[in-house]
Amino acid sequence: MDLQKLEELKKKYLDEVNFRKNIAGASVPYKYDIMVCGGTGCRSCKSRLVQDKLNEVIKNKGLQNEIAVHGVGCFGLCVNGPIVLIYPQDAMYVKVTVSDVDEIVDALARGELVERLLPENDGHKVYKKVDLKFCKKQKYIARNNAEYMSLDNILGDYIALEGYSALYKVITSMTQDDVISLIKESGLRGRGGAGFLTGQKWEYARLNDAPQKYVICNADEGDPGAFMDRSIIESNPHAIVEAMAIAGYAIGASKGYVYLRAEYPLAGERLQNAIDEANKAGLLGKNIFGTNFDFELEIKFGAGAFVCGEETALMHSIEGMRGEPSLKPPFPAERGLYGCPTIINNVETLANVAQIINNGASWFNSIGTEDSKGTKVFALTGKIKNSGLIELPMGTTIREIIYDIGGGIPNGKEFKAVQMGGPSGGCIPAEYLDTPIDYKSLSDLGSMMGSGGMIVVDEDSCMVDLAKFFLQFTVDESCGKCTPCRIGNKRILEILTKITEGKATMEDLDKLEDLCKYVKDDSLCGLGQTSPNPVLSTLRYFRDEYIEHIQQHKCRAGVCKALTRYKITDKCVGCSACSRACPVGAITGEIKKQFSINQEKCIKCGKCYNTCRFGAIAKE
Amino acid sequence: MKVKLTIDGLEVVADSNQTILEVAKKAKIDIPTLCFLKGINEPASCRICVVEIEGLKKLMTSCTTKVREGMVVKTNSSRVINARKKVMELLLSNHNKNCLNCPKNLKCYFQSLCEKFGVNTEKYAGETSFSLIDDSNHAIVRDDSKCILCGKCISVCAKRQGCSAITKINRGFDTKIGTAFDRPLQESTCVGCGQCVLVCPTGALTQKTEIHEVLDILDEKDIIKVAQVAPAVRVSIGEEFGEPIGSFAEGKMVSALKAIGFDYVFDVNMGADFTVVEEANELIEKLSSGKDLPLFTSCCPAWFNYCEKFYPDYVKNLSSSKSPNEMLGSLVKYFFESQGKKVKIVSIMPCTAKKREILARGTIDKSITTRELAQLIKLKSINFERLDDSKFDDPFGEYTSAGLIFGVTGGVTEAALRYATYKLTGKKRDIIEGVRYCDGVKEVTVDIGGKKVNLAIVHGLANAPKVMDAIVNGSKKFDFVEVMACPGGCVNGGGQPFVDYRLHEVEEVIRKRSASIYEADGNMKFKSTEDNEGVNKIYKDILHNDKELIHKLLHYEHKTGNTY
Repeated sequence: MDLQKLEELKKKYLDEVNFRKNIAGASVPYKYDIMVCGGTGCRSCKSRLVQDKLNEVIKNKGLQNEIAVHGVGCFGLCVNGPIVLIYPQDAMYVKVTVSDVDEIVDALARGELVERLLPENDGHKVYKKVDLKFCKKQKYIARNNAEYMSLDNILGDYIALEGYSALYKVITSMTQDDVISLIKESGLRGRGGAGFLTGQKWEYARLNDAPQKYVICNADEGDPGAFMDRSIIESNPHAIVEAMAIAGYAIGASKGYVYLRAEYPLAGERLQNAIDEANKAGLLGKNIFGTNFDFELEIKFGAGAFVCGEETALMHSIEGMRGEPSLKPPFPAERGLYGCPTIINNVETLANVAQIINNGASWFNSIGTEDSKGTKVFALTGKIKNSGLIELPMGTTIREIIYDIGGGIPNGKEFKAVQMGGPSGGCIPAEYLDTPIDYKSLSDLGSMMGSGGMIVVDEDSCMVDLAKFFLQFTVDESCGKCTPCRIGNKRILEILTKITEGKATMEDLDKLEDLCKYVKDDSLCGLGQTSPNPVLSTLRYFRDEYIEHIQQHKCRAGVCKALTRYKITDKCVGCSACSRACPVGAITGEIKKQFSINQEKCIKCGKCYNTCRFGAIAKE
Repeated sequence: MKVKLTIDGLEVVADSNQTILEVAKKAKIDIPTLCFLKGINEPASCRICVVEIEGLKKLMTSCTTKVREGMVVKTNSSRVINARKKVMELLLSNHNKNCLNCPKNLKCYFQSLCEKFGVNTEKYAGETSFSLIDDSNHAIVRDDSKCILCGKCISVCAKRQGCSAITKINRGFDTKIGTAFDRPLQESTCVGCGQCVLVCPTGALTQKTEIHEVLDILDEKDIIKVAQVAPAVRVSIGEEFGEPIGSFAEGKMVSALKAIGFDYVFDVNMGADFTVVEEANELIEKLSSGKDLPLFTSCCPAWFNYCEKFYPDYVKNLSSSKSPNEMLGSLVKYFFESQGKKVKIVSIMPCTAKKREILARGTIDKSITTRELAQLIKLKSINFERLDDSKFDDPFGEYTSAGLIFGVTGGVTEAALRYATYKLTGKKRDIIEGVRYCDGVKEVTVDIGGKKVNLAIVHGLANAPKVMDAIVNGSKKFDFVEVMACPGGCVNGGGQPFVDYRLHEVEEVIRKRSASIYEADGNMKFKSTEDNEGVNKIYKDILHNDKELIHKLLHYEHKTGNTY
C-alpha cells in the first residue's frame, strides 16, 4: 500500500458514501440505498431477515438497478430496532419487520417513504433522522461515520471517509514524539474508567526503552448495560485497527492485541475480517506504507471474567495465567505484557485517535469542558424512553441527556436517580440533574464516568435494592485475590440483604458504611476500590430509604419482597381474576364479594397486583 | 542510592530499592505479614502489612512499596491498626475457628495475630465458603476451612518445587486452593515434599500426625521397639525446645527416644554409610559399563516421585540402592528376625515424603517427622532441656561423617566421592568444598584416579528441569546426579520444625543447620565410609559377604509405573 493506492481506493468508493451523505455530484448505479442495521441489538430482533427479504423482494420486482441494499453499523437507537436507513432521503425506519419489506420497496420505487415506520418527535413523524430529538444534540467522533459505511465494503468505505490517512500521515511525516505531543495536546483521556491522559500513557511507554513493546486494546467491556465498545467494533473495526497501528508507531511497538470478550462473537468476526483485510492491503504487517514500520495485530478472547477488564488482570489473561490483577506500580507502561512496556487503551479512546491526527489537537480540545475534552459515548438504559447509545460533547447536562435525548421517563413516572459508571460508579439524584457531565463533576458527586453506562431509575426502584444488585455483581465478579474485596464485599452484600429483609439494625448501617469505606480504601485493584460506590452514593443521597427499611420495615418502592404486603381493598368487585392468577392459591373469597390474601401463603410475586383490572390490590 | 526516611519517628537510612517492610525489619519494627514470602510470593493481597505514608491518600502495602527520600511512614497509627484489624476480622469471618482441635494450635501465626490485635471474631460473621478436608495424600492434609488464600503454598509448590500441584480455583468468595480438576491431592503432581506445610500461616496445610500409632507400637508386648533417626533431625530437634536454629542435639535426642520407650535407638547415618558403599559400587560399575548413565541418587523420596511423574523415562537411571532409612531398616529387621525376635521400627525423619516411601517398601512400620518427635517428647512429659546425652546403640550406632552429611545437599555426592576415591585409588579424600552450599544447581567435574567424572547437584525441585532437560535433549552429559527435593536438602525438609520466615529467611535456616552438620563432620575422626568398622563388621559377620543377601536387603527392584 502506498499513497497513490490509498487515493485510488478513496476515489473508488467516495461516490457511494457521498451519495449517502447526499453530496451533489455523487454518481452511483442506483437511485436509493437502503441500509439495514447489522449491530448485535438489531440482529437479535431479526434485522438479518429484513435485509434478506429486501434483497429478495427487490430482485423479484426487478429493481436491482434502482435500489441497493447494504448492512450498516449501529445507529444507537437500539430500543427501536431493527433500524433501516434510507438514503439519499436520510430517513430512518424503526421497528421494521419482514412483513414491512414489500411496502418499503414499493414506496421507494415511487420515491416515497412509508410514513408509519418513521420515528416521532412528540407525536410528529420525523422525515430526516437528523431532525430527531434523539440525534440533535449528539456529536459523533468515536462513532463517526458509522451510519454511512456499508458493512459489506467496510475497508473501502472507511478509506473513502479518510480512513488510514491518519496512519499514513503519522508514519510518513511525523516523529514518535510528534504523535505523542499531539495526543497530549488534544487532552484525550481514557474512556474505559479511570480517565488517565492517553498521551501521557503513551509517553511513559515510549520513554521506557525495550526491544519489544505492546499495544493492547481493552475490549473486555463488562459493565452491565454498557455496549459502546461492542458497537464501535461492530460498526467501524478499521478505526481501531488504524488507531492501534498509530499507537504502535508512537511508542515503538510492533505487536498489538485486542482483548475482546468472548460474548461478542459478531464484533470478533468483524474485527478479524478487518485485520485480515488490513493485512492483505498492507495496512498491517511488514513495512507499512513502504516504511520500516511493522505492526501486527491479534485478537485474544476473554473467558468471561469482569475483572479481566482491569489492565493487569487482562495482561495475565493474555499470558495464559489466571485473570487476577497485580499491584501497580509497576505500571504496564513500564512492565506490562510478558514484562515489556505496554499501553492499554479502551476501544472508545482509540476510536478518537485517527480523527485527532486528521483534524488536529485544537479541533478536539475545543469540544468539551476545561477538565474533559471531546465527546463521550453513553449507554442509556433503564427507565427511559429512548434507550440506546448516544455520543455527546463533554459538559452536556444530565437533564439534557435524560429529557431531550432520552425522551424522559416512560409511563409518566418520576425520575429518581441515574446510576453512572456501572457497578463501579454511583447514583446521582434529581437535585443534580443540571450537572454538566465530565470526569471531575461526576467524581465530585461520588460517582464516576466509568465506561459511560447510565442506568435511569424511577420512583418504582428501591435504592437499597439497586445497591444490592450492583454488589451482587461485584461479589460474583471479584477475582478473590485480596481480602477486602473477596470477603469485605461479601459481607457488605450480606448486610444489604439483611436491610432489604427488614432484619437489620441501625448498628448494621454503621457497620455497612464503615466496611464500604474500608474496602474502597484497602482493595488491591480498581474493582474493589470502586465496588462500594453504589452503596456509598445511595447512602449519601438516599439514606432515609435505608433507615425506612431498618426502622419501619418499609420499602417505599415496593421492591423488597420481604417488606412488601399485598392487600385487597374494598375496591374489589369479587371477579376472582386474582385468585385464579395466584400461583400458590393464597387468594380466596366468594364471587362478587371482597377477596382476601392469606399472608402466610403469599410469596409476593405480584401476579395478583398486575392482574387486577380494578386497582383493588394495594402494595404496602 | 541511599535515601533517608522516617519510620515511626525513627530516622533511618536505606537503599532506594528496599521495601518499607525490609527497612522496618532492619530497624526492629515488626510489621505483620501473611502472604509475603520474599522473592517467592509477593502479591500484596492479604493487606495486613499496610502502612500510612504521609502525603498519600491510600494506605500502602509495605511489602511492595519502595522507600523514597524524605518518606514519613507510620506503621502503628490508629488508621493502620484499624485496617489491619479489619483484615483479621474479615479473614476470621470465613475461617474455621475451632482452634483447639487444630494441629497448628499455638503454633499458628494467624492465631498469634488474632491475639495481638484483640479481634472480634464474630464481627462480620456470615456465610462461609464451601470447604473440604483432603487427606488423600500419605503425608499432607489440606483443610480449606482454615485457608486464608495467602497463596504461599501455590508459589512454593510452583517456584521452589516445580510441581505446580495446587493453584487457585473458582473466583471471588468461592476461591479456594485446589489441584487440577479439583482432584484429591494424591492424584495430583504433588510429590509430598511438604514445603507448602512449612510456609502455611494457618492450619490449612498440615502433615498427618501418627504419634498415636507410634504410642500403640510402644505399648505392644513381646516385640523389640526400634527407633532410627535421620542425619538432619539432630540439628533441628532442639529448636522445638527453645534452642537456636541449627543446634546440634544428638545426645539429648537419643536420650529422649530412650525415655519415650524405645528399646534400641539406631542411627540412619549408618544406613547412609551402607548407601555410600552400595551406590559408589553401582557408580563404579556403571562408569565402567557406560550403561544407564547418569546415575541418579534415589535416597530422596520426593525426588524419586518427581522423577516418576515428570521424567518417567529416566526412572531406570535412579540408583537401585535403597535409601539410608530403608537400608538400615532392612538390616535391623534381618538382624533381629534371624535371631527369631520380632521387631517394629519407627523412623524419625525430617521428611513428609518418607511416610510414603516406607509404605512402598514395606520394611519400616512408621515414619514420623521431627515435629512429631517433638510432640511425642512433650506428650511423654520428657524435659528435653534437662536430658543428659546418650549414645546410639550397637550394632547400628556407629557412623562416619560421610553418613552424617547426607542431611545436606551435596552430602551424598561428597560421601560417595570420598569412598569411590579410596576404592579406586586407595587414597583418602577429606572435605570437598566444591560440592557444598549449592545454589540451586551445581555442576562439578572431579578427578577420581585420573578419571574425570561429571557431577550435577540439584536442590529445590524447580531446579531439576535445568539438569534433566539438558540430559533429555543431550546438551549435557553427566555421570552422577544428586537431587534433593527440598532446598538445602534434608536440613530444610518438609518435616522439620516450623520457623518464623518473617524473622529468618529460609536461606539463613538452611545455612545454620548445614553449618551445624559440617561442623560435626569437621570434628569427626572418620570421614569416609571405609573407616566405619561397624559397617565392615556387618558386611562380614551378619551378611557374611553374601552377594545375593546383600542385594536382597540393600537394593530394591525397579518397577514400572508409579511406586509412589
